[in-house]
Amino acid sequence: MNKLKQSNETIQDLDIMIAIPSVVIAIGFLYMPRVLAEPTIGLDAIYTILLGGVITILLTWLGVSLAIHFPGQSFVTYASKLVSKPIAVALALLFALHGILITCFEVRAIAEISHLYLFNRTPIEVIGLAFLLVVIYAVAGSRVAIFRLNALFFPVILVAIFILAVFSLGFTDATNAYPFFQTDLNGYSFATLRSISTIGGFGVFGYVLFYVSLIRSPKKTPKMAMYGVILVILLHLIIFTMTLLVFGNITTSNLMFPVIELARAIELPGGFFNRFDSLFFVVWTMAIFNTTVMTYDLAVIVFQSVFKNAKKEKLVFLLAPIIFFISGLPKNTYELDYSGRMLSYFGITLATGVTLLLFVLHKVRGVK
Amino acid sequence: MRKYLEILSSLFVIVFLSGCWDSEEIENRAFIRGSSIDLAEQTTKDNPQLTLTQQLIVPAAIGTATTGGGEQPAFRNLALSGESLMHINNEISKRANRTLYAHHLEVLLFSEDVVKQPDLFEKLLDLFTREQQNRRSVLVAVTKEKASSLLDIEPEHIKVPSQYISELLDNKKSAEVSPPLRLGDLHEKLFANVSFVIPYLAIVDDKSIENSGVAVFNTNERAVIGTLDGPLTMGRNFMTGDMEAGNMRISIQDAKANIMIANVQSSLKLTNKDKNNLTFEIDVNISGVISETNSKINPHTHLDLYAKGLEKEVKKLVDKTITKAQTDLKTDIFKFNIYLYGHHYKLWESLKDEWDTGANYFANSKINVTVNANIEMSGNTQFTTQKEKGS
Repeated sequence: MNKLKQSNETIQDLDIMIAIPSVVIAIGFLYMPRVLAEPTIGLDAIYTILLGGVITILLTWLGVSLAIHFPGQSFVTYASKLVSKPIAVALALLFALHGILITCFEVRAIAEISHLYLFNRTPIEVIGLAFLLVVIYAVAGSRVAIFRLNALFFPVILVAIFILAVFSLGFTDATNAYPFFQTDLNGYSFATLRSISTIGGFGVFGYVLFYVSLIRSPKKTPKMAMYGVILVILLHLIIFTMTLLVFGNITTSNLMFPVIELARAIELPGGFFNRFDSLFFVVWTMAIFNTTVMTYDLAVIVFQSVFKNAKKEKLVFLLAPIIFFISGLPKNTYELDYSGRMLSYFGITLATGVTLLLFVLHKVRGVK
Repeated sequence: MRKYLEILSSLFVIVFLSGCWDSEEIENRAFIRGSSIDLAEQTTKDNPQLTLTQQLIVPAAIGTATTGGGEQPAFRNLALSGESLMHINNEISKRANRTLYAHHLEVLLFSEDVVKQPDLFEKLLDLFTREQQNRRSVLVAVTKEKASSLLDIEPEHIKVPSQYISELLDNKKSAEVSPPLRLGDLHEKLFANVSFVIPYLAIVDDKSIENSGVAVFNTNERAVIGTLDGPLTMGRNFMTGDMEAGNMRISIQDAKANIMIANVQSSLKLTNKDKNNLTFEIDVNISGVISETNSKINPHTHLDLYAKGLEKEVKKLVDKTITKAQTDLKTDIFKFNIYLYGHHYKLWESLKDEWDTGANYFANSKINVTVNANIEMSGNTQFTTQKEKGS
């Protein structure tokens, strides 16, 4: 029985490819065109998306190719060999903290946006709680099931983004594409940093260090992870370009959620689909659900590997009230925005730092 | 004990699962189809007072295709005056027996008096772009008369005036109108600090409204500073290429003719980049079909003659439009601002603050228009019935 259960808890290379875009695409994507349009002129942020994307691919590739040297070993196990156990545990706990905080951020943000556009009277806390309860349900179950959910939802999200892009074609204005290459160096570097932040999903690309150990025979994993990031980059390019072509640079940098506005701008003939944004909200809630479940689960993974005797359900249920409490802390949307930014800096630094540190140590020491 | 607790707690969950905190029956909603904004009579110089009129749909009177509605009007106009739109809106909701619901707002009308007040226009627009209920696709127009009086015009075939107005604004068959202006586009232009034109509506009689000409918004004055009549708007549309169809009356050797314009393409180039001697070259390519002629010359074999006539007529109109824009309005209505921003960014940055104000580089620039016309065919018939003997 036990053996059967063990063998079921594995995923394929392909699952990583789907999991990366699933976990990266969330709230940040909805306002991504704004933060990228702000420091740049015209469509110039496209180049920074490409540059930031290449950097993210590189970092993810480093992380995955390090982790596949230790198949079946948890992060704490193999990191202990490289940096001694206490430091490995400390790093893992930092990742857990990041996972918890991202979960809080996403729960609060989806509640905030639903409150804004859908439920004017339902209190934010209630929306957040309802969402969190579903997330807890998913996390408390099997880990492989989460990857299956990713694979189930991701095509729907892809289709929604595709429809969004195709139907906004009719509202584009070619003059919005000009001028080219007018951004100064400062603007470019700022936008590149923000591109890494949004393509790296606030640093969640570092989670591959933990999830690769679930793959039974990691052979093509680095390649698959790379494809996953490329998918993310493509989606960013498509939506950024469409939003800019529809609204223009200056307006985009003034819209709170340009992608939601894009969905609201679309009007299709015929009654039901005339209001595309209602469908878009449903799909986006699924996207954020995927992210939240993965980040929550990461925190659980870390605690499982630190406290080996604890039962998974107990860890999940212990974390839940903490997450709900923290998600209620920001006083308003500005504070939420600010905490998101801080979280992104923290995540990018953590993921980049740990990936590079472990990769270099592995090369130098050659631990098997 | 534990079992009872489980049952109790699952019963408690039902409260959350029902998800009807925000439920609102559709019967209890009052859909706003159109809104208009006028200056109220109590307006003083420093303290503009506004009148907001909301056109609500009365579903019972619309009826379905088979049953038809009743005799009563299918709309209800609620109007109130006050200082801020949101405030007025709240006051209006006191008088509506249902919840006001703006998701289906289609047209937004401003009377000329309102938009001529500096800064007022954009202050009013803020509500419409900030509030989540409103969509960026709402059509905006300026009205010659009181905007609320347009919401009373009830044509025979359409039961709701705002529907009539929104269809009117979307109609692209005339060349003498501005392309429909969506709230989102308007918002973009205000942000980009460029001058632009707004559709202009006028009441013809108590059953119809005419969409003709445009109101001209100057970005430095932050207000509408004048209007262009229908023909001049057509002249502008030739230059910008904002035209899908239209008619042009031309003269040829011995008679008058009418050309139906099928396609207009214009290209704009800046040939002299010196700030004080800016020269724009515009190529306008027109293709059309003869729709009416009373000439005695065979039109089929003399298409060139008609093309020449059309070129001459268009050139005359365009020159008149340029003169009006440069000397009278002193405002860039030709979208040069957007072109300069896109293609000559550095130059634009250096002159945008005095583009159509102060030193007014726009009014002092030279605009050369070349018109090329091509008549594709002479129509279904050749000669008119009054053809010359022997020709």
